[in-house]
Amino acid sequence: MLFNSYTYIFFFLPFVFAVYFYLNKHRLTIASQGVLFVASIVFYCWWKIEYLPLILGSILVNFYLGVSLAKQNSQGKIARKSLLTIGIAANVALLGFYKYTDFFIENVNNAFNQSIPLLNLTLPLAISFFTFQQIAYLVDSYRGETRDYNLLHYAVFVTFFPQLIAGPIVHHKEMMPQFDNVRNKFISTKNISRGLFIFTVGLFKKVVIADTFAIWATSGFDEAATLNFIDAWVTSLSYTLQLYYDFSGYTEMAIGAALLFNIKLPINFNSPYRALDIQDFWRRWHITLSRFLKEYVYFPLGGNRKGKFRTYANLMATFILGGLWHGAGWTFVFWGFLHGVAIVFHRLWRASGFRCHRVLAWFITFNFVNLSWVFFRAETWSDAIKVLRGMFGLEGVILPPIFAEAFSTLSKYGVSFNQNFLLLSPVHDKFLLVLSGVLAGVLLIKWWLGRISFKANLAVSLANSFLFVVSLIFLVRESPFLYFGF
Amino acid sequence: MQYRNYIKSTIFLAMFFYGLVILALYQIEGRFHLPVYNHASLDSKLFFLKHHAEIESADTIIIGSSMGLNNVNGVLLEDSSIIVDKVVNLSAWSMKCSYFLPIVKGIVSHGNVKRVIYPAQYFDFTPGQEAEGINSKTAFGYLSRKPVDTFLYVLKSSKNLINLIDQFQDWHYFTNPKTYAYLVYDRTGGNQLDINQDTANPHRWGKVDGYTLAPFKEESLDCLQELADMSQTHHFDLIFIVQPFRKTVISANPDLEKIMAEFDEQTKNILKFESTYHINAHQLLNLDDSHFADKSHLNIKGANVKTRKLTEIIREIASP
Repeated sequence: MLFNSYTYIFFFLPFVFAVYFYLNKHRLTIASQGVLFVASIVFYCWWKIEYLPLILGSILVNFYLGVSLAKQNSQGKIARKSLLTIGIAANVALLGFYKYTDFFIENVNNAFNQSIPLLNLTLPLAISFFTFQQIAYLVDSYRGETRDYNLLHYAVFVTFFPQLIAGPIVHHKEMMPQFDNVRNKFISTKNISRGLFIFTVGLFKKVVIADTFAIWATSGFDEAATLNFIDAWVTSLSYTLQLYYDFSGYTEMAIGAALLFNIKLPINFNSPYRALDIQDFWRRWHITLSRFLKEYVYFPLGGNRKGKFRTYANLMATFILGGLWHGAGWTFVFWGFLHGVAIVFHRLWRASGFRCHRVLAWFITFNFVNLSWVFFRAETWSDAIKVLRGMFGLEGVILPPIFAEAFSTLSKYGVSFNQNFLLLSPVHDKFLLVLSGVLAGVLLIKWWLGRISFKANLAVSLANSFLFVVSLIFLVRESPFLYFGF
Repeated sequence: MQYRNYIKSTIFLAMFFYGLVILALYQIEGRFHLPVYNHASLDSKLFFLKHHAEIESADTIIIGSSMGLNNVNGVLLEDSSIIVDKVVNLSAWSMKCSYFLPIVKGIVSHGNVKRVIYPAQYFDFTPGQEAEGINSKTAFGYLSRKPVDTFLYVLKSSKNLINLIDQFQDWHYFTNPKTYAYLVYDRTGGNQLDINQDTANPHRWGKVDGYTLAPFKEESLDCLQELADMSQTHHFDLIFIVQPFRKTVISANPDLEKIMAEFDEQTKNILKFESTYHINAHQLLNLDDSHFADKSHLNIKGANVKTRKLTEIIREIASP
């Protein structure tokens, strides 16, 4: 079930909300938790029921492993470490089997000229997310940082439908106490108001902005045979904006929906494209993934405590793993590698004492991120090369005729001036209009929220309802979120 | 403002804004087609049928995809035939048989239909993205101007409003007979393309790709069988016409020839009732390139030639 569907907005969410608080009102708190769990399972199975045993099995095994690990005194350290290793290996194996088997077979086939048939497994929805959350739970149980949770609370923590499919990647420490908290069992009009507002902003970002940019991104990456200079930049910028608005829109819908149930999910984005360096970018982009990778990959590898070389190696390993987590493909690995290199370069730069003007720093960071997304989005190397060739002007540069006079000397270098400077798709001419609209909207909202923040007043209510109705008009697209594929 | 009041006012305002959208759609409904099915051709056809056609008095209906929309001149058929009295063309782009079957059911059950003309080619029965099915009861209710059904249509179209805006922006394509997107109808609901070899899109004119060579789906012919059965129970003549195709394209592609021969054979086998007629217009007319707008769509000249032949065929069928 998609957040951006009529079924979810008008039936599923209100129904679960009503039943949950009805039961809580009558002090049937265990039943209300049960309702949340069942609703989350229904939400999960709406897409495909075949993988229900997989997620249930994973929950059961991890819960009991976690309980065993938490019993510090009953087992020796070696036994507990073995148990943790088995638990992590089982989770990684599960993820690896469904996500990476075909990738592995393809590479074996290519390397050894074999023709081992692919398994063509469908990636179980949300497996990357619930696996990571449960690995974190096991590690924390081993460290003695988990409390005496019960199975139902644990199951709700893993499957809680607002964050089940594509995060934010939540931590048991920040979620399970909230499910326990008695104050959260009562309807809070404050949380509902905030939740509705955040949900609507997310919905608008997804269906109005992201899905509009998706038209150009899809056209450029998947349909066009070659892209000229402007086409290629429209394509890459469209994807850069689509990905941000799609994923941050999803996250805000998740945060908004969770708030209706008095559950606060962590924020996942903080204006990432305003970052002034790559480290800053990763503090703002997919924050909960960065947190997970830092705590459960980078630190266990040694972090920055084992010398410079190991620090850089650990950073590279963490980012390559992050790339691989997103998808089974060399383009994802390369994307992670690029970011790893950028982070290492940034550290070296900072250590050397160089400084850069803020505008230039932003320009370099944004363009690096934009270029690297090309590898993230491209389904094949040739698609990525196609877009990059266009972006660097290797497939010709056609500029609008208004520049003909000012830049006439460029014609010596093969630059031409033509009314048809954009060939990408039938709606190409609206790109600049949409881009300008989005930028103006963002600036306006930043200015507005920066001044007044969220307040329950008529103006905000008017904006909330207006954005909601506009989003409904765009709902026909009902396109899945990009991160559902990861 | 208290949070409780904030929630109330937000819900109220959202309902108010949505109400405005519905009201605006009601206003548009009488002037322009609503994006009910998110399909410019089908939606504009439903609009035409509701506001400009008298379906109840039609004795001849034409159904099909663009093969039915562009390749028969309904006005010429009405004017030149002494048998045909009133033609209504229900065809719309890429409409599969299963898609318009419910509407045909509704019309033949309520109307005065004596014959159904179905011009088609094998690719009308190939696998493809099926549009959302039509609820025949609601569709016929909408065409019959029942208020509840009209409201349901307006409500449904509010979901697709963004596509209406897109269609407004592209309307200059739809009003130009020199484009394949031409959607201005004659009085019967059909239209003809003013395109010839010189102005045709080269890709559409001669290129044979995977889509062109996609074999038709035998299960899709079940719908034709259903239509044939319906012709018996509802007492109308079903005239199925296999459409002309550019000869040079066929001769250059033996696979295509094979697919067409198989399609011809299988449809012939289905249409064996007294009330059904199978016409292979490709063989019968043997048209040259001057009659085509692309490899399978006829232009004005081609549509007129085919319609005159159809007039003769209908006269022969009507003769005792």
